[in-house]
Amino acid sequence: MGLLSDPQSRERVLLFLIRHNSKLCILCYALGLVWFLLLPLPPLSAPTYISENALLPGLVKREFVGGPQALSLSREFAANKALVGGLPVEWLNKTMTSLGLEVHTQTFAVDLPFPDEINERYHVRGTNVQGVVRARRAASTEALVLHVPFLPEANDQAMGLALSLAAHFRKQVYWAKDLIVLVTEHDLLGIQAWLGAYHGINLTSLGVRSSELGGYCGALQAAITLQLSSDVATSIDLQLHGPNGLLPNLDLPNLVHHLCLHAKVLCTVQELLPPQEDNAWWQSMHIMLLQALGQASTKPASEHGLFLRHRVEALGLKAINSHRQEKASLEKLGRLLEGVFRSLNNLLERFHQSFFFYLLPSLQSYVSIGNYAPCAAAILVVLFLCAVELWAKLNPEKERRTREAAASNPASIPWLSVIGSIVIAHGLGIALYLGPLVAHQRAANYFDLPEDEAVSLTALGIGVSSLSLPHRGSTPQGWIWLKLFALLELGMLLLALDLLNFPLAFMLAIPTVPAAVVSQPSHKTASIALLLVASPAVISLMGLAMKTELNPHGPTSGQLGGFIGLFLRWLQCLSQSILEHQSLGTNLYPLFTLGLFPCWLQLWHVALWKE
Amino acid sequence: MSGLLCASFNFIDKTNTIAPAFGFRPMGIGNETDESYLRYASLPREIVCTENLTPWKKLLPCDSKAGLATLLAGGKLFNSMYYSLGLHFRPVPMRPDDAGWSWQLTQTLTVVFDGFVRSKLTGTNGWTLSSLFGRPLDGPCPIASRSRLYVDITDIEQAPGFSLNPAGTTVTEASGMDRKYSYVLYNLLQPSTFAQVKRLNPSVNWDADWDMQSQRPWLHVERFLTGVGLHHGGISSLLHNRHPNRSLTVHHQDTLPWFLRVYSHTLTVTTAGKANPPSYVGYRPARDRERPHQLELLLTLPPATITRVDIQFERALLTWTEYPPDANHGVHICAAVVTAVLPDSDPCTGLCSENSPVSFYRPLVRDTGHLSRLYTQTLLVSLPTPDFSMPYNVVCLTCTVVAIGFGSFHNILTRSFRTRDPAQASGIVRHLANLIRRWRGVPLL
Amino acid sequence: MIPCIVSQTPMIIYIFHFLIDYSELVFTVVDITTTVILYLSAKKTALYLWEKQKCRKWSVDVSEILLRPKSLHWLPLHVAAAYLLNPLTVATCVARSTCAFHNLLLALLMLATQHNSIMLSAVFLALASYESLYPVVLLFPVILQLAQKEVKGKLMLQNPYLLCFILEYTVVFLGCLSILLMLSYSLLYSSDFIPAVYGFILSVPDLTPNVGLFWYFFTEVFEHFRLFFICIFQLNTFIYTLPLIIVLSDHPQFLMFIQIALLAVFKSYPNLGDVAFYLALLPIWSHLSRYLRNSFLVLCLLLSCGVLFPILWHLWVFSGSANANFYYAATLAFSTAQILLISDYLYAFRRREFHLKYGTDIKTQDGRKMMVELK
Repeated sequence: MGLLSDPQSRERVLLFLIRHNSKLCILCYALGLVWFLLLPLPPLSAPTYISENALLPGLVKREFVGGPQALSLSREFAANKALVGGLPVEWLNKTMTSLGLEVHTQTFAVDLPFPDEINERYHVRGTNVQGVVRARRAASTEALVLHVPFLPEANDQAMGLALSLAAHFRKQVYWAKDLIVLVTEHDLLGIQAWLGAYHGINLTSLGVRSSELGGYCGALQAAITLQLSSDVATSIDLQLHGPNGLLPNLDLPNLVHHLCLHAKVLCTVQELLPPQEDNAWWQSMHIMLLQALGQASTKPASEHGLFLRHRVEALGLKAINSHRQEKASLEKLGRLLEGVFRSLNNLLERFHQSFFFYLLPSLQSYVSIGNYAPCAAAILVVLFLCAVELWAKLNPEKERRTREAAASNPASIPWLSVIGSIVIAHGLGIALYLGPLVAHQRAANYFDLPEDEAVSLTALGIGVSSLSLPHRGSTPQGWIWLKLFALLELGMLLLALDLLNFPLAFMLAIPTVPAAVVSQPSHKTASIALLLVASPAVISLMGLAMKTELNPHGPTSGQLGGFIGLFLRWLQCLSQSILEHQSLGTNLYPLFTLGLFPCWLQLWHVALWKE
Repeated sequence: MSGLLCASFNFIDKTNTIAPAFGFRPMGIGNETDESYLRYASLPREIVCTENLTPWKKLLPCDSKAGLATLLAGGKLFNSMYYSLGLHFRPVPMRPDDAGWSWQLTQTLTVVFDGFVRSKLTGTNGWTLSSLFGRPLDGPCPIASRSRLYVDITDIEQAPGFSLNPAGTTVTEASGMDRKYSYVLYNLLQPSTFAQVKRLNPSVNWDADWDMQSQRPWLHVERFLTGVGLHHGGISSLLHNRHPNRSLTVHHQDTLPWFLRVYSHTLTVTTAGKANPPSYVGYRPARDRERPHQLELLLTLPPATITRVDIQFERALLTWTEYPPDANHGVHICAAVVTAVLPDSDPCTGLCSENSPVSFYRPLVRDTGHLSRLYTQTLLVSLPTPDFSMPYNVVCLTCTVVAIGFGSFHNILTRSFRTRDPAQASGIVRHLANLIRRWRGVPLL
Repeated sequence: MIPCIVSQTPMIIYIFHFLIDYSELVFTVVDITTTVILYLSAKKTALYLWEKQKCRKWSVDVSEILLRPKSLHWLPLHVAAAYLLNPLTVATCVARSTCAFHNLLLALLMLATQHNSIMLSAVFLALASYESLYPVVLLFPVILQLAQKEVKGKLMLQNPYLLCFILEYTVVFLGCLSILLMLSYSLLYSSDFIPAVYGFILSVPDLTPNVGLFWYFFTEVFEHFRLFFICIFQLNTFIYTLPLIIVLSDHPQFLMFIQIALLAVFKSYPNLGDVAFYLALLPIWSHLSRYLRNSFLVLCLLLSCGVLFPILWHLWVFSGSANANFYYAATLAFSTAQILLISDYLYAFRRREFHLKYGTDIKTQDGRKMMVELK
């Protein structure tokens, strides 16, 4: 408390902060960036290990021999799928019953706010089928889920393997938890409908109408989503992140990785090979950046992500068949999954030992929150330093103030222009959030556009028009109050986001913090340039460009290259993010419109402040 | 009892015991039992295992050495789908016309074997006594007055390729609603049972491709937790009435632990989307660390419908010593008890008459049906947990904050303002500086 | 013996029996009424401060720290806006927390005290203490305020008139309180509510997380020391009363403000509505802002805590990603920020009094500026 109560040392610290303000800001910002770049290297990244002792991976004898059965079931499924032209519910029902499972179906219906051009759906109707292997003599208090999403053109072998595994599991006596084999239609919407009906709660703003679910199995402990579209696989790719940057407990990917090593199956993450010795830093950075971009997009990597919102640890396993020599057959993959489920069966408590917040430079190493938090803190400190300088400018200490300045009422706030600017900025943010949904019908009819394009163009229109509002201040120093408010608001937003979705917060902080600190009426050109780079639209465009560049598959065929292609894809992403916010509850669009855009607009007013 | 049966009854205390108003009635002679002494308690976390089976068997007159109890070997019994042990005490008259009475102990054991896996393994439909229990019957218990084996062939009598060896006495009973029950009786005390074969091993077979369609029971109950997160939640019960044209009156009794803060105003009962208010609601709220919540409902279930009973709760934070060692597993909630008088056409209640094989533990109620008691699943509720490794740290940190407050206020309130010349150094520094100046011979501060 | 779902007084439960169907309207009306009462009370306080300033003798050079009519003119509006537009007040209203009623009673108490009404202030004080135990410490600032008008002579313990007045007021207050307790007894026909309400407040059996310091402490404390620490914590809430009375006996208004603020920090079940109430009273003391030392730090801390509380709660309870320690750290930071704020205002008040007595610009004989420090 000495620092806070002793006026002399306080004065000295304050003077030091003010005199060296820009140097300290640059130093902290550089420190944050450099720290982030050093994250893939030890000692900031540590080797992975399994924290939950109860898992005991790989200690049981795997007995699954259903490879041929899996293959034949997948052929039958493909044939019935072609016959029915969709999910063959009766065939699944009959097959699961003949394998000894308890079968329940659920029909659901969702109406999207506007047509989804990418997945080609508008009014969605579907059926989910669940087959339950009841544990013997247990009271159905806990359950594990093996989830196979139904895809019209793929995922047949996953279905066959899941059914064959279920048949094998049905005969065993060692299950302590029930096992649910879940087949859902319409990818994320189907699993959302099932989870909503199972937990009796709707986490989105869309009304989902579903039939009564049967076959409750108690609390879900863990879930695995399987994607397998070939008879053999060369590697298993782990898909981690869920909506809004949620991650499963680190024990679960570690478990699957450990079992893959045991079974000599290649295990990858972000569909990239593990980093080699010669190029370790860049390859680790590549993997970490892809994970960061995936979390920052707030879209789940696969259907497993929606389980994470209900506190069920889940992982997506995608089997990839590339040109490598060593192939794993269906039987080998089945044994791998059997090992995973045997380990999950051993769990006494929910996953709670290992980390929930981490970055993975590779599957062999991880960066925990304690190691990556300093780079976020360093960048936030920049905002705090700038705010301290502004506060000192507004409230000079009495020892430094002259009599004349003291005679006038110190630093009266130009209420009208500051509050006006704040209200307008937030009002426009709300308009940007609600506008596209409310007005897209009218825009589509008036301009004769497809509805999702109308949505993106409405959003773009509102955003651009808000830049041109007049901003006339009443006092020369009034902009300081507005900038202080905007800095504090941006700081609080980034602080909140750092805890919820660190990669998104960091990627937003990198362009916006320099723009926020530099923006002043006296440095008009530099402020406007930096602010334009830091605008929500340009940030999302750059994020999309980075993702396209870093994508291990490269651009998909049929995609336009160059800037035009990027822009068109960006427009599509805009309408997709609005749709996902409504149907899945992801928070990217509200964050940008209700959080980032008002801060940015206030800083824009500061930069263009006229007396 | 707890020590005798290794059943952890010592964990039953006032926090999991209730005094039900309905639902449990004495089934012995005379209703002189004081109803205020009626208690119901449940330990949802305990599991029945061989430790309970062995002392249970020892209570039998012949132990497991002779008679039907020789079949009860742990290895095969615990390889089943469902398993239940019961002990029932009730007072009964010593003789039909005698005023005196004595205690009757009824021990029940229910096992459900997995027919599906057996048929997959052997390739045929059917079973033998030795395949189920591991050994055939050698003979009755010598001190038993009645020792019988009944095989229910009601559903498989008509199956193609049906055979039952060795042949026993067929008993046919008719009940209301044109439903006939057929049993094959093997009376172990009759010498003719063991005349042909030294060991009795009934075997039943039917054709592999014939699917046995058993009738589903009229009443079925499911219970599950709703909600997400560690704060709010809800418990829903789904009561299925599968009878096509008869409505059922059921009594639903729930015991919820005190740390689930149940809000009775959120209780809703709906049938097919419309409200179906219960005819009686008996709710006794919990007292923290003293007694649990007690909820009793009397519901009418319309025919062929599903009725849903919902109630919301909030979870409380307990002190760190009140959590079990596996705190992240969750706590178990007792099963709800659903009691109903089912029409006698229910396939699970069996026969009506007093002499029927199953009547002695399913009492007849008003000649219209049988009392049936269903227990739902137990539930697993996760509670918010504090960090168990932190008691010292928490005490230190909180006391630090309080001390910061105390220190600041103490300083401001007990001291007063004084002026000081800034050029003057503070006390001890001045003293030291003066020492050095005296040694150097320059003027003092 | 202490139930934990509801621990409200019987009168509140009885009143809400009739009001429960119109609860949104009731809470909005209560908030608006509290705002109006605070406006009137602040107006009276401004007048009182102005009159007091005129009566005192000042040193030279103090014109810049004296109250000005212009700022006093806007003071009531600032107070009303600070209460009505405070996000914490809005949150309390939306959550329909009974803290709104508590704030209304405190505001009525302040207004009645300003108007020098012995009976009304005793009634409102009794109601406030009946509802939650802690406002009983406000007895002393109320007595001091009323004594300034009612009692002849200096306000010193030797003055027999003062002792008489204290006795008289205490009897009136205790009488009102006992009437309320009797009414509650007649509603329930048992005195079970006394351990249920006051025993609950004092013995802290329910550990539901809130914004205070008690809950996690008593979750983690060893059972052996529980009673000891309960006594210590409750003592800590009441211990500042006597020193504050001694130091601030001439300024009962400020004493009441500090007491209300301290209760909001240290009581056993604090909530954000209590914080909103004393934050609304800050504009009355805006003339102290010159001597505040940590205003920026406190502002940043309070803003961060306001942002962190819902997020860390969400991470602990809904996501399952964080554990209780994060939310606990936020409560520690929040309590520290409030303690800094209150001690800052106390320091600023005492320092202003010192400068009013000795002048703002104290120089040595050579013309050097003298430093002022707390020793």
